[in-house]
Amino acid sequence: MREIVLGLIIVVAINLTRCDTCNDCEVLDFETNVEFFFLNGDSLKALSDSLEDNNDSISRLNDGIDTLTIRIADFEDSLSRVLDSIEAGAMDQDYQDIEASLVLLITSDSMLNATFNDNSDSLAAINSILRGLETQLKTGGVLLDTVENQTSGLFITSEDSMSQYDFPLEVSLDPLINVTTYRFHIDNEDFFITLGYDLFESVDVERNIALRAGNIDTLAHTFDSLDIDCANPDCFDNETTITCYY
Amino acid sequence: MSQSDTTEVEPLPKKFLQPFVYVDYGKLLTVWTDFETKYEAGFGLLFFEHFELTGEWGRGELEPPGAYPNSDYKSTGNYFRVGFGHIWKFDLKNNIGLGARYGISNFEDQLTYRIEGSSGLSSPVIESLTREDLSARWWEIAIITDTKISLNKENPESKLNNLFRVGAQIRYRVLIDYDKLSPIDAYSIPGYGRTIDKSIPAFNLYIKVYPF
Repeated sequence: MREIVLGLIIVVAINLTRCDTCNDCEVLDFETNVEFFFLNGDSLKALSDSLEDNNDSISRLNDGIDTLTIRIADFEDSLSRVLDSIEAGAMDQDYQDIEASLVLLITSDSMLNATFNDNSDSLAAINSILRGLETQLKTGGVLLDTVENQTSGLFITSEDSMSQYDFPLEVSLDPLINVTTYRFHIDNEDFFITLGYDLFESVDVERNIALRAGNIDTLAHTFDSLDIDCANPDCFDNETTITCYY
Repeated sequence: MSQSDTTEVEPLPKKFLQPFVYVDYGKLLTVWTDFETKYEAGFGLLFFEHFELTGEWGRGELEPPGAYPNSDYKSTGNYFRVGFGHIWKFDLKNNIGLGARYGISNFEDQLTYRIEGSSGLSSPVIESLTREDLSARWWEIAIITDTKISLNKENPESKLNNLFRVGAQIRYRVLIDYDKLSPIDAYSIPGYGRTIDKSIPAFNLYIKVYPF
């Protein structure tokens, strides 16, 4: 009997060193997020148009400056030859008149050239400001008064402007939920977007099980336009960015 | 010269066949634990008191903690082992042996995992899945020890003293293959252990009965 008792002690000791079963398992904190940017498309287009117009003007001014510079060089060349002739003894009145005309042309072209340069510089400075405004519009905060996940029925309200938002997709295998519709209230206007996706399970290095979304795509929206940028062709959650122009 | 007072004793002939059954009493203790319930028993034929053939059956309901941190996990199934071994008599009471076993497990597993977000915009996720008709195969090398239990100490020749043996087996299991599942793999195989261990030691305690 000693042997049995010894065996039982060993088994009890092994069992006591083991953890209790998982009665209240850890819950994984994870969401199948998509990153959203919201941009005022009208303002951006007006800025973009102005920048384009200014660039055209600068280009034309630079062409004019180049032409004037060549012309001034030619006039100065001619003037140099006329002055050489006068110095060599040409006392004809015509040489004097040509000299005066050339000096006048060089002076007026130089003034015009300086004006073109000033205008070009001014337009470049304006473009710099416009580009700054463009950057500010793209990266600056947008206030989303209300964000409603119409698939889950949950919503949040906000008083803070942000430049970028992460919103989760509603996911479920049973029953299958692989479509999510969001309503965004921006500048007293409602915008809607419906996203479709495929679901798959994944296990991370710590053996947590997650339900993930892939092949994320837009099924419908009421924005002026959208850009979807995926880090890889499968458009996974947390790697997909949607830029909404309103 | 005086007559010798010693007589030579003829050694008893070895028995051709001794059937036996045994039960793993260590596993019976798991009935009272929360994380697993196991039963295991076997039968065998001992030839010439040295060579044994064995067959073992077991059932396991395993709920290993931490299999998947955000999920319950339960693996349930039956397993069978067949094997052979060689037994040496260490002394009059104790045996030691070496054997090999081939194991097959048929099982199913169940998971329920939980995910929650902090945005306030998504519903909690609770998903359950069951995978049935899973199987696994493995080899084992077993070191076998057992000792005779003398229940009738007053009469050493009593048949009762040859009826029971108690012992242990120290096993080393090597997984041959199993139904690998992706991405959520089976975690525990009844009769073998964790799938992340491609080889694993094990320990059994048993009481063996020789009815004849």
